Amino acid sequence: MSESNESSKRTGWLVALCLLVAAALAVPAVAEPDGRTEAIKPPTKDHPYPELWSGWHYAAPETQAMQDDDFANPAMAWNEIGSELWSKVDGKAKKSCQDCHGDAAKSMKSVGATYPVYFEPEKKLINVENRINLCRKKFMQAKPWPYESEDMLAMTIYVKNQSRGLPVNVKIDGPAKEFFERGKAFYDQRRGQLDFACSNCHSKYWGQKIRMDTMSQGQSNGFPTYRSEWQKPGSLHRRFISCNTMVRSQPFPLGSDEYVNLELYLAWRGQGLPVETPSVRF
Amino acid sequence: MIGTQVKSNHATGWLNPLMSVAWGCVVALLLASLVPGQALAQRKKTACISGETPRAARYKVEKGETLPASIKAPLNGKRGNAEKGVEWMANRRQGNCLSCHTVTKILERVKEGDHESESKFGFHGTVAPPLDGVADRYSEAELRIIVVDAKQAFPDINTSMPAYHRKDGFERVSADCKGLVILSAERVEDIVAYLTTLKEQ
Repeated sequence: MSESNESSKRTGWLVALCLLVAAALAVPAVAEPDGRTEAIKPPTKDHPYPELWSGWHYAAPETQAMQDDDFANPAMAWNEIGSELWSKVDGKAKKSCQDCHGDAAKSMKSVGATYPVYFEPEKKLINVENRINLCRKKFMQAKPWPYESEDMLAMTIYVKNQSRGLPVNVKIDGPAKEFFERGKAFYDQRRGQLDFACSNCHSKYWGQKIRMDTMSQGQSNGFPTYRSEWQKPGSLHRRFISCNTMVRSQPFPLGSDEYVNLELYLAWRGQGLPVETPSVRF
Repeated sequence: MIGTQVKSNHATGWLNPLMSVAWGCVVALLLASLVPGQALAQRKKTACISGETPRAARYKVEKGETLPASIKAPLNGKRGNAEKGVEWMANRRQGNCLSCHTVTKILERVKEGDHESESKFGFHGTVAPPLDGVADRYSEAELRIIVVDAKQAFPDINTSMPAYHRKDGFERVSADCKGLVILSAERVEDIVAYLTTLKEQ
């Protein structure tokens, strides 16, 4: 009698334990804020934004869904081309990216989250596009790709896609500081006949309506991005040119130092937001 | 000897009156095909389209009633057409005032279910103060300087509002807009005429 009592007690404990484990498993893990449905806290107290929001947050639900489904995201076709180019031999040295860098998933991880970086041999910043062409010239002895070419877009998307989900983490101190400051000055400089600085719209009025659109924070964590306006992916610098042209200002060239400096400053304004390359926007 | 012969023949060819007429024609045709083609290509690309962004008028700035600046006289000497003013305020290539300001009286022009009127008069911005009752707050002369050059009207608040009738003092203006203003004197006056009707009291 007492033995069976003991055993039923034990069974009871076991059942209780099982229920507890099941309950723990059933409760969904609390999702880390990713700046999409929940804002991210800025990295420092003096950060220009009190909270960080990815451009995804301001996109239409259909656009968000398109970005989030790799089979529906039109830019994933370029990612595919990029992965093919990765192992394709090109240039007089008869090398592919893979010959030096191996598996991109390992070697390129974090690149998209940390570029632009200070590049000592040229004593200035370089971005992913610049780095790709440096490799092509120096190590592959191949022709550099034009900035906004299909090949360059495909490779940039492929390289940055290896960091998808990693928080943006650019270095702005040391030798990069001077260029960061130049990028900041560019951001705050009013320009063009409409006399707007980037800050006039993106620092002050994010989340508010500009005619039909909602003003975003102008975050760069999803670039190159597919825009339905372009019917293809485009680089961040192409977007800069659109912005500058919109305020009726003479834009700078794609890949120019001015834009690379701005690229670093913008990345820092989104420090901590997960990389989303390739994103989809209207 | 032979060389000289050839050279002299060539020279006579050049001097031949018929030949010079022919060359003249070729040059004229080349010029004619080049110049308008270039002008056309440029015009297509520009934001400052087809002469709609003309030169600035002269005007006198005086102290306003509540603002540090105002312009008493109409820029082109005559009062504008308020109905046209609404057009320029809604037009995205002209004033596009509605991209930042809400104007309830213009929103009321949207006919329900009519996509065209909605796209034209609907979707107002929220980044700048609503213009409802703006004529209660500012005089006509003050409204004029606000449209012409808001930075003179509000020198202390680092306003984002563009100067719609100022031709210089900007950084790196695109070549096609250089020296021109966003809105002509006439269109500024049309807008001012409409703004003066926005009274609530």
